[in-house]
Amino acid sequence: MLFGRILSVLTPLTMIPSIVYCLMFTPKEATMGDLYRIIYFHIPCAWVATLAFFISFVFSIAYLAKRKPVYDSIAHRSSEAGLVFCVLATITGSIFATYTWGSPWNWDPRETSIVFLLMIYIAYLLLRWLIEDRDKKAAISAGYSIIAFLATPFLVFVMPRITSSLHPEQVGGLGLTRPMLYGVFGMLAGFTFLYLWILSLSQRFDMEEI
Amino acid sequence: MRSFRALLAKEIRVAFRGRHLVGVGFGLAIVLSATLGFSLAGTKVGERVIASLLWIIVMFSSSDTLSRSFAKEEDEGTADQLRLRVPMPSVFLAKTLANAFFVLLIACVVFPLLCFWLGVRLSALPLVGLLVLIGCPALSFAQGFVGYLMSRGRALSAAYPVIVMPVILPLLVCLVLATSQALAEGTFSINLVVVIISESLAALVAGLVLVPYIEEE
Repeated sequence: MLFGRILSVLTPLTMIPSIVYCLMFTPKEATMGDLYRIIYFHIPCAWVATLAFFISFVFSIAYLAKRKPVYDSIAHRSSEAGLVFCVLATITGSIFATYTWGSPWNWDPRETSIVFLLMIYIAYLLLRWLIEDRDKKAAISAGYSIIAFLATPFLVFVMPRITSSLHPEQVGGLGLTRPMLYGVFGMLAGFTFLYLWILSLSQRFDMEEI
Repeated sequence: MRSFRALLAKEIRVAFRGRHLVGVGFGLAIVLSATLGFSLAGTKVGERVIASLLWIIVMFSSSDTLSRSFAKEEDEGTADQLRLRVPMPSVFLAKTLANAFFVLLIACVVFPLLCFWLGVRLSALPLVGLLVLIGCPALSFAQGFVGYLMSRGRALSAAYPVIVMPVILPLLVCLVLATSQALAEGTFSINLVVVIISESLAALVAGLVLVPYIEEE
């Protein structure tokens, strides 16, 4: 409860100044101009999605070890939140790709990876939806979440490195200056608090139901 | 160890006696290969397409043999007997290894048919054969635990392909990339093989560790 209240204050306190700073005070990028500013949303969305899936994985292990419903609820709600941020990362990435690479979708390894991640967590939610018994649902979906997360390091870290990519960090770096990096870190903090706030709210509803 | 070997032998015996592996597994593999061979007759098919077709046919032809094997034990009431006599990780391992053998058998049917119908260069065959030898057990290990999970819920079998596909997709992509490299260049990236082996072994070990926890439920 207290954690939720703290986050309800911290989230706007970090997000609003960060958004204003990123959109109004950071310099234009040399080649892309103002277009690059979408990375202030794209990078935090991708980061929060990965964090959310990791938290879902950790709480799935915790559920199988301790069998506490609260752990299942956190794993489930974290996956849902991760899926939303993953969709947002895909959309912002596609907008960026349209203007820089000429097409919204190029089957770049990172684009392919994000589609696979979306499919994994849609399948996870489908699995939960198909099982009615609460304990069975929690145990089976925890098992699936753990095995699905094992694929994530291969998708996020390995695949883009063993195949050629159009992504900036693979073709000469992002080229961000210090003020731009401050903006990115501010947004990362803001999005992380937003995710934790969403998680604490949705998990509280679950606990009231139980 | 003795019970594990007996279980593995039983799995293989039962699969050959039953109609599913021969009727659905091999049948589907042959029908799909023939349909694609006929549809693509006379057209120049790229290496990437041949590699994709090979692995997609193998995957779909063998997709539900493992979950069916677990579900059959539950339906026939033999699952509880099995749990009493053999540790569950041994049951899981025996069924997964038996499934790896069936996937390999299905690939041994699909692979020569596709090569014959789509005109694959003979010089590429040993390398692709090696990838089939590595890839079939890898596919089976990667989907083993999900197959086991699917057998735990009644409504889940219909959704099996949708639920298992995302988990094995990274592996499938690596297999397709390595196979197409082998077909086109006569070599393949060792990194891809490392990813295939490590991911499938990680999934197998995770399955072995997690099965007792799921059984508690």
